[in-house]
Amino acid sequence: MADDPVLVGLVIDEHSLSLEELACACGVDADWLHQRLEAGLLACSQGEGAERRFSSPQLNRARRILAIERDFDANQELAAFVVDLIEELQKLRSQR
Amino acid sequence: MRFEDYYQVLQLDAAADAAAIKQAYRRLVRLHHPDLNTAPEAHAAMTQVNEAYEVLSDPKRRAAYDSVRRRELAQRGATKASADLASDWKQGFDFDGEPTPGRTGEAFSEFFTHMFGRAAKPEPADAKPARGSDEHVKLLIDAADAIDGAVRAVTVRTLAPDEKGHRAVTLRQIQVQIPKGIRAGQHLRLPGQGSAGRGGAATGDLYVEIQFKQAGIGQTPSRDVHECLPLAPWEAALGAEVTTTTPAGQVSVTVPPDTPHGKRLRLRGQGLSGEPAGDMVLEVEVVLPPSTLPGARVAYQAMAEIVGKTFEPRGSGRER
Repeated sequence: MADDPVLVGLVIDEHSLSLEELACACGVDADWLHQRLEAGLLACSQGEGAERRFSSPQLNRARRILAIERDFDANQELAAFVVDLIEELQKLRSQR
Repeated sequence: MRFEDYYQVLQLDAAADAAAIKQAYRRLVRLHHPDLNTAPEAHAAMTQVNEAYEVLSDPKRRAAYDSVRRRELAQRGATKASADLASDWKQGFDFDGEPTPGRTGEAFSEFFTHMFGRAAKPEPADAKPARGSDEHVKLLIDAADAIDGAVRAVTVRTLAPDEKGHRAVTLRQIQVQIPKGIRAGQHLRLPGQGSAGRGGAATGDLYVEIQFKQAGIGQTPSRDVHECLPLAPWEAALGAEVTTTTPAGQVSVTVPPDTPHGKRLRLRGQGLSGEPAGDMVLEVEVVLPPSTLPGARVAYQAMAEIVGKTFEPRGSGRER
């Protein structure tokens, strides 16, 4: 174990994800993300040109929305609403 | 290996239909969801519920599981009292679906891995190329790891061909460099450390989500560090200079007179390093000396006689 190589990862916020990379990370196809981006349920930042880039909070958010849609057969708006509440709760807890 | 009774996990009868299984699953998800339930055992309970649902909600998996369970319960009733499985427990087992290591980021039981973690047939040589799936794992670290950087081991469950060419769950432990200044909720991406691709396609990536062991620390997007500052009553009342430890080392803190219990003192720029550096937030905790300490009882009695005439801790103005 001590001789195992130490792997150096990329910190997502310094090396943000492309839409295709985010889709792979969530195990969904790019259309799934497009629909939620167009509905304003997911945010992204602008990379070079018009490329959409995604950071850690957006990866977390996408995976949470996916889990709620899947576990509760929820539509995308309801799932995003639940995730909004979860994020708000986390923010308040971290301010305690 | 321990037998997992998935019906018991979902609190269901073995005759439950698909609707009842879904209903039970949703009820238990609400109960154990880590975003709602902060009890330390909630995460393990949630993983168990997900594992049970993964099996019972899939007719093919459920049928295979039911046959093993029936035999297991009959055998247990006859001879065994323990939850351990007999060595021939998989005899007659038939599942030819896709293997899975479990839901992303969750370590399912050894029982699940043995039942559903290996493809029944070897991967064909002409398999259609498909990139391996990305995998996720959470890594709990100490605040000190984020401050100084560290190397930590994580156990990863991925799919890869075994020695016979069957796709199967493999467990690997890898060493990961934790970079200085990492925050809770951030991810490290390790290219090529996910599940193996098919037909010669690329291996997926591994995402390591960082969480801190001490809840609250580094949860916000800022680099603030929150700590308790214990004070003696006289230090809080009269003011004091005390020493405390910040990520950058020891610093002296001026406690102003009449500092109440629970007050937060913010030391600008003394939190986690970065651009900009975070703050160190110290929450005052006034610690009462026990009355059994030498001289303490006399001091409390004197205080009660003198200060007690004008101080009412349960009054609105705190003064009589």
